[in-house]
Amino acid sequence: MAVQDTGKQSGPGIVARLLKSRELSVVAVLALLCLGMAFTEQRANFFGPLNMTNIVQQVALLSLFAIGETIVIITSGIDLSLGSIIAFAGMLVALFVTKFSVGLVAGPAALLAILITLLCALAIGLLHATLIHKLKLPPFVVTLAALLVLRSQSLIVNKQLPISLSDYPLITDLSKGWPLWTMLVVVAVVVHILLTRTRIGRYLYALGGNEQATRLSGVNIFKIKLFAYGVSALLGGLAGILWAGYGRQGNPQLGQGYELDAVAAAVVGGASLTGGRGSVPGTILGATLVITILSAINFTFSNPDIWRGTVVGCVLLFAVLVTALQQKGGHE
Amino acid sequence: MLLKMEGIQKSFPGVLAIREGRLELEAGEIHALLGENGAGKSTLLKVLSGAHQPDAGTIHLNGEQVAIAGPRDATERGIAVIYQEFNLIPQLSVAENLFLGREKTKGGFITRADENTAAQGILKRLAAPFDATTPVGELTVAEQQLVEIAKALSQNAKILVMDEPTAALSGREVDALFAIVRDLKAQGIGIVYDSHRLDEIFQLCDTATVMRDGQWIATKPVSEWTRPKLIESMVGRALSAEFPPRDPEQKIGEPRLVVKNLTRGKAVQGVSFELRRGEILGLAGLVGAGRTEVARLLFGADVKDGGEVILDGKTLPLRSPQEAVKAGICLLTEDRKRQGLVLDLALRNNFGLPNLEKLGKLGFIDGSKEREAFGGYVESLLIKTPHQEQLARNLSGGNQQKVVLAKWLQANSEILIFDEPTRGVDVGAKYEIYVLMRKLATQGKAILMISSELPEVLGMSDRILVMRGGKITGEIEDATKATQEDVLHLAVE
Repeated sequence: MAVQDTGKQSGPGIVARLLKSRELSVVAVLALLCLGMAFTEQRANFFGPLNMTNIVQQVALLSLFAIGETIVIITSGIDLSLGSIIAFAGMLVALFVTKFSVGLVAGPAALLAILITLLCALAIGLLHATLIHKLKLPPFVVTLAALLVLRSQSLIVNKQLPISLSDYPLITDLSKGWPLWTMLVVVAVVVHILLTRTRIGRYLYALGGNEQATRLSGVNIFKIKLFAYGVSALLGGLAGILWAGYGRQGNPQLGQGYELDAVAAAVVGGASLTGGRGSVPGTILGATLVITILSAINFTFSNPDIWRGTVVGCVLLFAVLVTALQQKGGHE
Repeated sequence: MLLKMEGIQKSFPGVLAIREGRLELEAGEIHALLGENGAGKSTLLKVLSGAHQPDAGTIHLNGEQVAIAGPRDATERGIAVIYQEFNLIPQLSVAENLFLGREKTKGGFITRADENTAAQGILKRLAAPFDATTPVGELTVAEQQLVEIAKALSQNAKILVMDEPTAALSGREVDALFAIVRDLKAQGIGIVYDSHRLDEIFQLCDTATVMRDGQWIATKPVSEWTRPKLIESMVGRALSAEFPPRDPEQKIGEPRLVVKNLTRGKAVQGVSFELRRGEILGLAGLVGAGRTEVARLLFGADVKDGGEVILDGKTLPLRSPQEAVKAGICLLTEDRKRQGLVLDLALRNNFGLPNLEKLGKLGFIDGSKEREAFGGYVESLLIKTPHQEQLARNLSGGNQQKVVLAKWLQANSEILIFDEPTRGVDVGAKYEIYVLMRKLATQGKAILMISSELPEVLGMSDRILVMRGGKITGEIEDATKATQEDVLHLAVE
């Protein structure tokens, strides 16, 4: 093996890295899928403006909290509570806004309700991290408990009934058009920069790679976990508010299984459940692929609902397989 | 002849791992296989154990040419390998581990009683001090090793390969292991023994084969080898000395770290000492004497129950590693792979972990600053790597240790605690680590060196502390005049 002494070289070239990159392979699969759809009779409907708008909106809604899930997965944790947080946050925001609008005008009331809901979500995430770090409980168990508790609480807060948001355009308008894009772009760009350029990002990957070594390097790993689970729950809360706006109501039944969609998006995008790997562009592409496949199923299968699980499950397995092969290649 | 491997060649994509491998083993022989990391030893052993298929060469077992198809085939042919990291399942009992994959059954059900009796018989042969029904997780490392040996015996192994068997054992446990290995030899088992500790080779082995750069170099009876000759064959050049001489510029000054009555549970009981400027203080003792625990307390990795730690006149609270790092104390852990490095992170990123606050602004990392800083250490510490983005796992032990050192030097550490500084480091690279330690002492840093290798303790320390049972049992003021016996006398009851 040829070895150089200075180590000043900066690693493999950009082209080589791009060819090996996960993002490119997801884009390739997406392109193939679209190509395939172009040969079906449904192409006009699938590529029609209505469906495209729909796909893009779904992708944005999924990406928002899948990005939070990705942060947690990078630390080799998992956040199973997101689906319930989404329902709970939707209920909270609806509950608060109806309460506040008694004394306030609709606009400020909505803003205040959103703010308090987000703070509640953040607090839930911080509690996760505290239980995980201080009591050394497994993330799987802590967030599974939260999944159960928050789902039940969503049902309890308004006696199992949804709460209408039709009177609050500020909330219902958030989940479409430019407010949604702005939020997604801001969250994606900020988290991407955090992950790639900042200390906290470096610590997240290090923590996922080796918790002990990271701690013994003088890094405060509790803070890092607070950050990861806090952001995940916060984005879950934001997604919950948006979903509530999208459905024009706080719905206690909403979001069942969404946490697994988020895990699927992250993993398809190259995140590794053993930690240390994952990226924002990867996760957004992963979400895009999952949503596009689901839409394609809708147009081509006579009974799409029953096929959904099979197709997404297979895609997930395939993605993990590719990750495993890439990692194997990298280590030998 | 029990085993004859000849002309073995093996390459992996881009790397020729073995150019010419050769190994001959007689029944009842203890055969040392020596070489630096990357010499091709482990690849050769993996060919023997069926994990790799050779590209060329022949293997004879008992005079008959064979092809070893895979690990299972190797086991059936009587070849057993005990790796440094044991293949045991802690939650299962000793007997369950012994018969894992070949359970004794009757009508599809496991006959637990039969397994336990059979296991007990083998344990008796080894004079093991534990029962076959004990969960493996409750055993000490030395006892777990016995389980591995028992497993080999239960498979009727004729050839036993032992990879660094003493790496995690204390002095007395090593003696016990040697007695067992000699006993196996008397039973006609051929043993391939792989160790970095050359003393052991001379104590235990009959023959030694040296490999270098994938090439067989020599096979001779141990009586015809000398320590310098062995090292020379392994490294490929003559080493003037194993330890660099003390620098006349190295001046031992005032006490910098004062430790008073440091206590944590039973592991550390009332430990007090001073560490001076420009000094290398050796901390000797058997495994389990509490040395690593002291290091962890000084670094804040564990929190002390009582006692005081004073650095340059200031009392330190030491509740976390962050505080220790800020105060200028660092720890180079004994287990680099699990505690020292994030293996799947690039070297540069590992280097940066404790230093990012200085290598950037407002939470952002200044990549070029980091590259530049690390580049400086790559040159000054002679870290051998093709580039800074190399994953830490791909480096040899010696270079990994240098990366850890670079990380702490950049963090402005003044008190450096080396726990087993050269564990898993090649003979040639060991010398470079020693030179660096001397240099740091000469610059006025204070070094606490924990080591289980007595030649290292004697060759590197200015002063030696010895621990036993969580307490300091003695101090040797002038390490240059001490002998191994002096240290051992203090280390054992």
